[in-house]
Amino acid sequence: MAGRAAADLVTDELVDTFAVAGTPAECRAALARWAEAGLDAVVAVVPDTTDIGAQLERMGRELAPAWKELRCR
Amino acid sequence: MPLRFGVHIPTCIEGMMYPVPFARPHDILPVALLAERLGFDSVWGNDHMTTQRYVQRELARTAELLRAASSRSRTWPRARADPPGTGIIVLPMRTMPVLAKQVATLDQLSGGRVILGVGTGAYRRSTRRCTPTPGTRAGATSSTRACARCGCSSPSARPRFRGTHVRFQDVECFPKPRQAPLPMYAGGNHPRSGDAPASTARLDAGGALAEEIARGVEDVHRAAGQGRARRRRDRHRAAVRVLDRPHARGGGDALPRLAALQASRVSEAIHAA
Repeated sequence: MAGRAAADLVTDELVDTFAVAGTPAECRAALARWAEAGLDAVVAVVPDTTDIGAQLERMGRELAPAWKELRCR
Repeated sequence: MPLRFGVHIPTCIEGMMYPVPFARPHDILPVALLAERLGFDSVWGNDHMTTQRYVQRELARTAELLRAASSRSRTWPRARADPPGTGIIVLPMRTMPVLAKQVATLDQLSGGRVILGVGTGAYRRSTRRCTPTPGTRAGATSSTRACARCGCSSPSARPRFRGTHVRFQDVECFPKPRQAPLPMYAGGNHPRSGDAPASTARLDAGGALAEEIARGVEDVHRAAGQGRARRRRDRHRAAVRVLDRPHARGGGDALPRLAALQASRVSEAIHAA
């Protein structure tokens, strides 16, 4: 319950600012913002509440190829 | 230069990002091999020695913190293309000629693909308990970073280094790493993290704002322009969570996204020059 209350204090904007989380399209958009800031490499950390293998599979399929097609400033 | 995408394997963050027991050897290896099979550009780990006291109080048993570099060395014989990152090695806890020798050995064995990450260490108590290096952590890190560079990259088979906090001489440092210069990424969110002649890199804390990333990139490029960094590259370590389906913004599906935020707050990020 306490965790739920804490989660309620976290806005979507906050998550969007500090993490890459959401649908593949949302994740790609978040990564594009960092590329625009000048980043040319990202190291993804998978949260513990998910299947790390499944997340790696999805990142390898849906994020990494798109990230590599971006160009940083 | 194409953008690069690497992943982190869960070493040394059991009890902090992952439940205990999670990061056991038979958990780590399959994840590392999967990352390699999927073709990520690099694979990284953490380098903590102990958990923080407030975390320890919450644990029913001691967390198993596996060494990042050691974990990677286990998978290197099978590695094909992924550059193995050492993780951010906490320099003040290391003896420099020994570390230089280890890194050179790993770079030789991996075919010249090691990425050396170095830093001050996130946990003051860990450093204090384990460090052979006197002085402030920041000062010791600066000195040991230059020292590590000297040990790894000096053309001399018997390099010598005389710094404020560390020094060595007449130690055989041969063979050298296959890479010259060895990619060295300096970590930490202190403004001076990447401000050293020896570093080719800079890291900052996870969860950085885009504006902070942009400033860090400019700092790194400025340093490169002044000859203080040898390569231009920027890395950022960040929590990533891909959801299976669209979520309702405005709190309807906040918890999965919150998990990613929690991860970003305890993780480190990398800016590399």
